[in-house]
Order: sequence, then structure tokens, then C-alpha cells
Amino acid sequence: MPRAAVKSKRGRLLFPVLIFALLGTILLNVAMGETVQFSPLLTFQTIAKHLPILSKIVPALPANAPQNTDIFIWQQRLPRTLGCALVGMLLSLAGVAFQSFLRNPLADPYMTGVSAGSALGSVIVILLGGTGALAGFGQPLAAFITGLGAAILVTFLAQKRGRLSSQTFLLAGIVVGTFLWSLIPLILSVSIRNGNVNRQSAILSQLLGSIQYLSWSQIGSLLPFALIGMGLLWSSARELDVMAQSEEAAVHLGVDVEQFKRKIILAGALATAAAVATAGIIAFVGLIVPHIARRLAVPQHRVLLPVATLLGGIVLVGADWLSRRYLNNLEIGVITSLVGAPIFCLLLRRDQN
Amino acid sequence: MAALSLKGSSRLLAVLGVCAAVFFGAGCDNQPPTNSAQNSANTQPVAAPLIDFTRTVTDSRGKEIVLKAQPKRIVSLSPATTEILFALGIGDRIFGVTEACDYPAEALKKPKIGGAYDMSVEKVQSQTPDLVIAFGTINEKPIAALEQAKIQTFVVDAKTVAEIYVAIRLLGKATGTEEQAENLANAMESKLTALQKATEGYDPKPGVLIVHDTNPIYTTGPGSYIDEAIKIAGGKNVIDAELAGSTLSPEKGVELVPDVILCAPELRVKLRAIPGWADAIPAVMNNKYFSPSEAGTLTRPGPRLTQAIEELARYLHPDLKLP
Repeated sequence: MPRAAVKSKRGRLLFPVLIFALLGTILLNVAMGETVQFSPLLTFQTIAKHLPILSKIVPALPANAPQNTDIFIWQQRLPRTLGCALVGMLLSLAGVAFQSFLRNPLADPYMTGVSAGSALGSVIVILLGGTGALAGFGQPLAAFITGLGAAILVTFLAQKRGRLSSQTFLLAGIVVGTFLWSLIPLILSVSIRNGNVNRQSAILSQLLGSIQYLSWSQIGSLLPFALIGMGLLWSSARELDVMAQSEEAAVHLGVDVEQFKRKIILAGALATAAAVATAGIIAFVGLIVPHIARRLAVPQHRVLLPVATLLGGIVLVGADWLSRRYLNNLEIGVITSLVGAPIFCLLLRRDQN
Repeated sequence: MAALSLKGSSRLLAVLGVCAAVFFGAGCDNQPPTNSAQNSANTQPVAAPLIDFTRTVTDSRGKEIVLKAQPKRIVSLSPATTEILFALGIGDRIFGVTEACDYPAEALKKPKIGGAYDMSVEKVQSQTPDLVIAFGTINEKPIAALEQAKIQTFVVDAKTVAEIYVAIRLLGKATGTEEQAENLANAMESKLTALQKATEGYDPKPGVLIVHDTNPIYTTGPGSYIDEAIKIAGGKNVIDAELAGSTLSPEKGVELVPDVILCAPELRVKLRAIPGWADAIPAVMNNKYFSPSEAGTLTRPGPRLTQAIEELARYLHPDLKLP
């Protein structure tokens, strides 16, 4: 396989390049916004002032810095950007894992019914007027629980005598997802009847995926689940390598296949539910980024998983930057769909050739 | 009351001219006082079929509506038109309102034909209205369906304060209450002119931001009666250009530095939670929020808008002197 050889040579450079690109897009997204633009130096200085050791070394902000520099950078743009990066990472990582263990290139993190479950939970909380409940965490918490619940239901339906077949899992995911989705227009029409037009806009931004209001505390609540999900998936690299070949091979190599499947589904659902609860449904990232990552990296998951993670962060932060800078804060899910669909078509065409 | 006047009017038609005087007397007791004063000897409801009412009124769609008789069974499809009709003294001719029509209190007792954005054509038809009054473009499709069913519809619209006066006068024409409509529109206009005069001298004018909802942050820019209301009350709408989708990002909000935020009381907590707002926006830092004493009066293009504007003017300028 000459291509793999090329890839492994490229591989040595891949990680530094991706890490650099991620930090670069993060800096870009924080420095440039829809209103005030900051120099990279001032941006770095402002952020450093909040960090434990750096704050003592870095000189104070110049007196001519724009008003509210700290508010813009530290309170608004940085949490939004980091949250965005985290969501992108979770979705692409879960995407790779699902595609590999189901051996289905069309699989994405939303196939588990998580997106529909989370959307339903969010919509219900919004309609009940509970968005302010639990200090604002009521909605993400409900979305997280319903999303995870949907994934567990799908897993349960797909099981037969303790065995879980990939085909049945995909079908059960589609059935449960479609059913839960159909409840949303039902609930929405009741809401229209009551004239809750304002709440509908909140629902829309949840369904389209929006990260406008990410604050530090929201990232804090996302982080533990994100880390657990990421850790579980990263630690499954070896088993995913074998599973991606065939289930029989995995059994021969001594993998407890059934338990492993459940572990991947749970970890993936955890990561996805955390992402959807935070940012709403951001389409295509979990489907496309894994495919791009597979083109960049060797097929070994030890490399593939971190590459997809970094790439997911870069892609979503980049999309957010486009949205804020040029597209008047268009919902980020709309941008990923608009850009993602053509890219997916392109990849399909190239595969056919 | 609704049932009574319905019974009254149908009987009157049947026995017209025989024992009219008796019924006139009965009808008079049911009329609101403002109406009976205007209606010169309370004959109008009955005399209307005799005197030729026929008129053509062009509504806000530019559609010529031919009215052969004075409308007696009106269905109102928006809270604003319901309020205007009550203010014109013809609340007793309303036979259907939306679930959102919450003012005046009598409106709550009227039959409901559905929500403000999701009315039921059948429920409207079941009231056998002789005129359906709608506001703006909200109910375009059901209105088309009603017109198909040969039910007369009349649409008014108002984006600016001046257009509210026009809408009131149009409704007066369509319902045969021109005089009341003229008085109502003139009273609003003179009140608002006086307010504008009183607030003119204040400089600088406090920056005002109106927030309808926080996720996303919905606001209103120029070219609207809300924008005019802020100006008349002696404030400056910080949104000075049309915003795409009328939504505001948290960052843009910080850049606009509003001194006062107009919002429903329950939104105040959410405004504090928007990243950066609690530390950079004067209105949020100083808890300067305004909501009218009666909910919805500032955002509804109806007669109570003047009252809301006066309250806002007094909030923005506590030392305001009104003639």
C-alpha cells in the first residue's frame, strides 16, 4: 500500500500542523468578530491575564486598548470559541467511532437517536418556559438526559438475546429517531396555537444548532461528560481497529464484542448528548469530518481518533468564524450543512473514480 | 351580554316598525354609555338597515370592501383590533376573538376562534360573522379561505404610529363608527404630540434597547411604532439600522451600550446571564429595566400604546412635566 506509506511520512507532520491550525483558528475567532477587531497580540495578552502563571509575566494591557476588551475577549468570544471547538471535537470523534464499529461509512453520531431525543427534551423545556430553571442549566440537562435516554432505548431495541447486530442498531436508531422527531412538530403546533412565537425562535435555534450564548459555566458543565466520552473512545483505539475489519476477527482476537459495542455506544452517546445539549443539532460535522480525517491519517485508530478530534475542532471554530464575521451570526448548523453537503458529494464522486 | 344582543337584533329585524320602541328601550340598557351618547337616540343599530349604509372601504391590503349593511357580528383576529373595536364602543358586536385577546376584560368572555397565529376557519364560520377583521399578514391563508366561503374580511395593518391612526379610522369606517374612531385617533395623536413636546428638551437622550426574547435576542429597529414610541418618550433606540432577522448578538449588545432595556419582567434574569452583559451594559449593571404597568401595551399597536409611552417617558425622565 504505497498510499499508507505516504501517509505515515505525512503523519509525523500531521499532529503539529493540526494543533497549530486549531490554536490558529481559535485565536482568529477570538481576535476577529462582528464588532471590534483585536490584534493577535492584544488577544493573547487579554487571555493570558486570566491564566495562573502567564498573568504575572505578561505586561498589562495598553491604555489605548478598545473599551470592554476584556468583556469581548474573555467573557464572550473565548468561551464561545472553546465551546465550539469542544462540540466539534466530540461530534467528529463519535462519528469516527460509530462509522468504524458499525462498518458503515454513512453512520454519524446522530444515528443513535441522540439528536432527536435531545431536541425533544429541549423543545419541551423551552415550551414549558423552563429555560431559566436550574440557573439556566435546566434545558441542557433535560436535553442531555433525553438524548442519552433515546440512545439507551435504541440499544435496548437492537438487542436480541444479549447480542447487538449493527444492522438492527442502525434500523432501531432510524425508527426511534423518526418517531421522536415527529413529536416535535406536534408539540410545536400546540405552541403556535398558544401564540408562543418567541419561544418558537428559541426552539428553532436549538434545532439549527446555535452557540451564541456559551458561557464559561456552560463549558464547565459540558467538560466532565466530554472528557469521559473522549477518554472512553480514545482508549478503544485497538478494539476499533479490529472491529473495523470484521466482527469475527475481533472475536478471534479475544475482544468481548458485545460489551465493547455497548461501551462505544454509551461513550459516543455521552459525547453526542453533551454536544447537542450545549449547542443544539449541528449537522454534518460528525459525518464529514471523520471522512476527511480518514483521508489525512493512517487507518489506525490510535492516530485516526485524535486527528478527527482536532479536525472537528478546527472545522467548527472555522464555521463559527465565518458565521460571526461574514454571515451575520447565522446559526452554525446551517453553515455546516451548507458547506458539508457539497463536500460530502465531492468525496463520494472521488471515491467512485 | 353577547347572547342578549344577538337575540335582540334578530327579533328587531323581524318585528321592525311594530313595537320597535319597546325593544329600543331594552337595547339602550345594554349599550355602553359612550356608544349611546354618540348614537343619537340609540336608533343606529336598528336604523342602519333602513338608512343606506352601503359603502366601499379600501382596507390596508388595498382591497375594496363593499359593505351593504352595518356589520353586527364581527370576529376579530388580533388583540390589537379587538382592543380598537372595544375602544370604539362596539364590543357588543364582537362574536369571536383569539385566545391572545386579553383586553379589555370583556374580551376574555367572547367565544374563542383559536390562537392569534393559528385560528380555526371553522370556528370563525360557526359564528356566522358578517365581518372578519384581521391585522397585518399573520392570517393570510385562513383569510383567503374565509373569502372563498364568501365571508367578508377586512384587514388593517400598522407598522408606524401614524398607521395606527389610519387603522383606527379605517375600522371606524367599516363598522359605522367614524366619529368614535376620529375622536380616538385624535385623542391618541394629541396625547403623543404633547408627550413629544415635553420630552424634546432632554439631552442627551438615554439609549434604549427593546428585547422581546433572549434566545436569540430579538429586538426592534427603526420604521416601527416601538421605535417611534421610544423617540416620543424622549429616548434613543440604540438600534439605528435595520437588523437582519431583528436579532442581536451578545457582542453587538455590548457595543450598543443601552442605558435602559425594555423587556418583560421575566426576561431580566436571562439578560444578566448573557455572556458579558452583566459587566458591560449600563442597563444591566444598574438594573434599569422598563416594562409597562399593563403587559403588552408597548408592543401592541392599539389604543393603550399612548399610556405605555407616557409611562416610559416618566421612567426615562422622572422630572418630566406634562401639561
